[in-house]
Amino acid sequence: MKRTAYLVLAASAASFALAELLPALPLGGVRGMLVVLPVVAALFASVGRSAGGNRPTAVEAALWGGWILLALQHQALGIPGASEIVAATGLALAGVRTLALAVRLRRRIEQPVLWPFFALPLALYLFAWPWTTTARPPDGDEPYYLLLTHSLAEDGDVDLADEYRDKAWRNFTTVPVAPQPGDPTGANGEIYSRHSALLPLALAPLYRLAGPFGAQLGMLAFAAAAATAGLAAARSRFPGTPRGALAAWAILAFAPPLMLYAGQFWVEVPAALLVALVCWSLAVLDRRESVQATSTTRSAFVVLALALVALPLLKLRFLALALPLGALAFARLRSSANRRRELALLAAATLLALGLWNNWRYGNPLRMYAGSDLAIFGVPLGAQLRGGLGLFFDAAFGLFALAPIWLLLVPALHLALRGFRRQPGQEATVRLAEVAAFLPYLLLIGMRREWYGGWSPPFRYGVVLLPALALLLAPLLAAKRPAAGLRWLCAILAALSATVALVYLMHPAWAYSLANGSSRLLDELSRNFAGDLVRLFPSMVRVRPATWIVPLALSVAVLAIAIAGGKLRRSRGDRPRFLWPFSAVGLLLLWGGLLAAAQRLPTSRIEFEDAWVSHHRGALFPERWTADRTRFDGGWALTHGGQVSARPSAGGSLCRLAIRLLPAVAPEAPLALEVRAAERLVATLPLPTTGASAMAPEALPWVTLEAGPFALADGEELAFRAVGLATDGADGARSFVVLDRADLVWQ
Amino acid sequence: MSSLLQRARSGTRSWRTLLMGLALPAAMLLAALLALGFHGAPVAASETLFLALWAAAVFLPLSFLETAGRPVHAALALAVTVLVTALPRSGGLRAAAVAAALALSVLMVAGLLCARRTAFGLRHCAALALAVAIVLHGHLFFLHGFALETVALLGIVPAVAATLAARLAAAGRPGAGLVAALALLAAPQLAAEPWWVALAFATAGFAASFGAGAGARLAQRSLFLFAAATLLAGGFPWLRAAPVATVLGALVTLGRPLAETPLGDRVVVLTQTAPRLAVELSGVPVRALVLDSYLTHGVELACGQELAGMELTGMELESAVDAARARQFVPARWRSALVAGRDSTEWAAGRPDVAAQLACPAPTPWISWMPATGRFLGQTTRARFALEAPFGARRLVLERNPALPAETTLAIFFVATER
Repeated sequence: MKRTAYLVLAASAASFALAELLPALPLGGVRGMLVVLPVVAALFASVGRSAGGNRPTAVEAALWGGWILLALQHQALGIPGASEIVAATGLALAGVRTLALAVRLRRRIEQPVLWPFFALPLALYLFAWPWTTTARPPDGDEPYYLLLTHSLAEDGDVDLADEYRDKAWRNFTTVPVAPQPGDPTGANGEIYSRHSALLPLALAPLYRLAGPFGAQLGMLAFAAAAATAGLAAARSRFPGTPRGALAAWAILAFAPPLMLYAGQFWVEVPAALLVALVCWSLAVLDRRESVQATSTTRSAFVVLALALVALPLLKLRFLALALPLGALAFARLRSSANRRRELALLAAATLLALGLWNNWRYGNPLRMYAGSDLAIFGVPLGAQLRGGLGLFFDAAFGLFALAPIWLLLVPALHLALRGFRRQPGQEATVRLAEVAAFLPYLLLIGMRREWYGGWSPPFRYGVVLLPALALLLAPLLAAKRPAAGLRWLCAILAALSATVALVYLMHPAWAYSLANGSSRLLDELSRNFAGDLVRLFPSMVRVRPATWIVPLALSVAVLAIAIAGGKLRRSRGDRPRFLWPFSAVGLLLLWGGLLAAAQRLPTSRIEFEDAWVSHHRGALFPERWTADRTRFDGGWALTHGGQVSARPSAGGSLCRLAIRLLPAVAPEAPLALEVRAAERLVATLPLPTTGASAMAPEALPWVTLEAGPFALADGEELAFRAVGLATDGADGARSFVVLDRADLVWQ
Repeated sequence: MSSLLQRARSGTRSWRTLLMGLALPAAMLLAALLALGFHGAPVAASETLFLALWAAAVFLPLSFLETAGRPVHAALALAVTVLVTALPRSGGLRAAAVAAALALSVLMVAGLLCARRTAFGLRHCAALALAVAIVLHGHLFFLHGFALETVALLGIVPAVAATLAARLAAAGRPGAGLVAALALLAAPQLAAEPWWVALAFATAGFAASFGAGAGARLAQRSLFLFAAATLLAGGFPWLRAAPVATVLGALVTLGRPLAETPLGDRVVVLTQTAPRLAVELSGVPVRALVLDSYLTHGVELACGQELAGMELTGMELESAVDAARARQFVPARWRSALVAGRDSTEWAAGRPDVAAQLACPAPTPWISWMPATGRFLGQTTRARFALEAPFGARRLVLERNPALPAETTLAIFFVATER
């Protein structure tokens, strides 16, 4: 450990020297990767020693040498976009090294030492962080947490009025930060944050020492600690399955979402650490033979109590986790009445203090929430189901779209339920009770209109659950040689997850999607495609057939491969040499199949704001930053001369249209919508005049106009153009029409 | 009976091997072609088509090696396909990335093979030699089709190299075989390199083949690095004329990093109606100015014809030490000109009919690229202007020569200042 400390110190000195030597421009984010490289290398070396020695080969060393040369000189090539490729290559190299070391750490899994399991994810997060931070400034709630941290570190108070006045946000972003609607204010002009101060309080000392860099380092450490605590929990819960614990830790640490959230300021990351600690404490306390007053159980109890208390202090929403987990712990502490009393007292005191504080500061013990926000059973089942399923299956915000490797949860859940059915003993009951303890939180999130997390990376509200989800994976991946189907599934999902993770690390801004039925990644992918690829992916924001078909089909397919594949046994002497090529071929065929399906399946609906639709003038409706945007039916607004066009896949030779639109047409500037099929004018639809002004989203006068039938061949362009009808030369600029969607019926 | 069963089993296994060997390259090609077919606008279709075929062709021989079962092989195949289908289709980035990924794939597969085996059979040598040849010379198929040169470089040379390597390996000298094969395959590439590069290659090869002990090991490692550099940089055959020299040049210029790239990813076209480009600089002391450009409708321009005037204004530094002391700066101006034949040339100078009409021979291209139509390489030229003394430049102005024919345009892709 002493050697590691010296090594890291020396590497830090080298990093500081590099920071002085390397020019800031034009190297950009790649410069930061070069600067932190000595520390990352030192961490890798330390982990390598712990893992029993895993030095880079000559090929790997040569590749790193080539990468450093490329990183220093890539700008001189004069090829646009070279920085992204350099960063991606560096991350791929670091990822390969990380995985090689992670596999070697199997030897250390049963030993109590946790350092290598913390240092390895930290090294990878640290290496990715300079690029992701440069490519994307703090967004969503992040700048507000940073501003509060700044205030605590610099002034020692939570009043942000002076920070807003002095533009203190310029310390960490170039995007202006203003108070959020609903922020509490004081009698003397104080402005407080609506966000809890626990996370900023934890980061403030680091901020004081090293500014925003220190705070970001703190967040990286929280993420790495969450992964490590997840491993500790898996190890304690399943002591006989070291391989399963290691696999679960690897998925938790190196696959998104934790990998993606590591360098960002979201309260869900430290909350994930707390949940992992709760899971660890429960596992330790559950070992009945050790329930006696040993030092381990004492420390486990203290950790449990502190974590349960800290959860609602981080965010009131986490009360939905702390209460059931606390109740579970209460039920488990059967043999110790004192501890039950202590836990009950602590819970009561925390709840009382929190309620009183909120009442004093916000005039409401539930802060921004109302009683109706908690009426889980008042929400229609369909909406609840969409929210709950969306957390996992939504193409933009779901866990499985972000990191398909987590689809292993489906067979893992099946395994847990089967275990309970076959052996309904205490162990299975304990596991089921733990799963059930997370259901209230899932229900609470599922019922929210903003179940997807607002303006944030995917699975924001679910990040806190990750350690518990990883626990489910451990028994599934425990076998030394898992069945062929499961191995194939792991291979294919791992390859897909690595690709998606690399894309999101390269373009962190792509992780942020508007809740409009698509995702930024899909939009970027299909922007230049001639067909509608997005309709094949499930969206719980904009319901379509894929919303229900894909989750069902995916779950069945994954389960079938994992279970039926388990029955396939390898013949003697036949090495598993086809696993990886078969997985790659499977992925490529899947991609080809998706493209073919998007091209061949007849288009039945065109959503006009989608990326595959060409927009000539006009604007997105409602405006991108409209508060609570999902209250509106999104569309594309056109004034005179504006046009949208698409190339639908034909399902017949004749096409009939039903166009849903919102006319905002002044009587003195009439407007019509021209429909053209392959440049042929097939319909001119005069738009009704309206006196629409500011209206509630539900009251907007949407109308549906019909056109056709008309001939339209496959791949021909279907265009919609707004034209002014005024005869006096007025161009209708004061009028506009919002096109929501067109339903196509083929004959 | 048992021998029949064994033969049947081995037959099934070889069919499976053949099927899996073909399946991955076929799937790569299919995915790339479907993405191309689904593309709304046929931008850079010929480049996409070539890259898809090139990638599949490189992976075809590699897929028949035992390393094809390794995750790294599958990951590389996927990565190459993702690069072909997902990267932007202009600017040269995609071609460079795909070329690098293919070269890396060959290197890594060779590295994996070397780690597992001490001697190679003809099958291994042939597969690796063919893959190396396709990486280095695959673009010739795009340019010339089944011409004699293509057949020789993609068929005969790899066959000879593989046979030689296998024979020498069988004779107990695998190192010499490797060197010989590599020398044969890389020879056309090294022809454009300075002579000392070839000399270094030969010396390292000689030491690695016949020496013993630490010196030979060092030579072997140097040779490996050299081969890696040749393959990686030579994988850009249509990007760089002298790849190894380019890599070594990059090493040499580490000491003079770029200061600024004021255009970023922007492309500026100077025309008769918009003849001027002015960009602000930060005043960082610079020693050189770098410009990448090409001409359109510039076939008839004579050598030395001024294309554009360049002017840097700012502060001249009396010595390098003055960079840190702004008070000693004196206002200054630096002027030069971009001239035809030396600093820039017609973009389609590589097309045979255009080459025949050029009034001034084209300089060595900095980057060559595949145009939207036609089987030739477009070219961009790099010009570097060294300043006599360090210069704290604040502003750069480029102005197209008004005496140029009206239709002649000068496209500027990259402007950089060097420290």
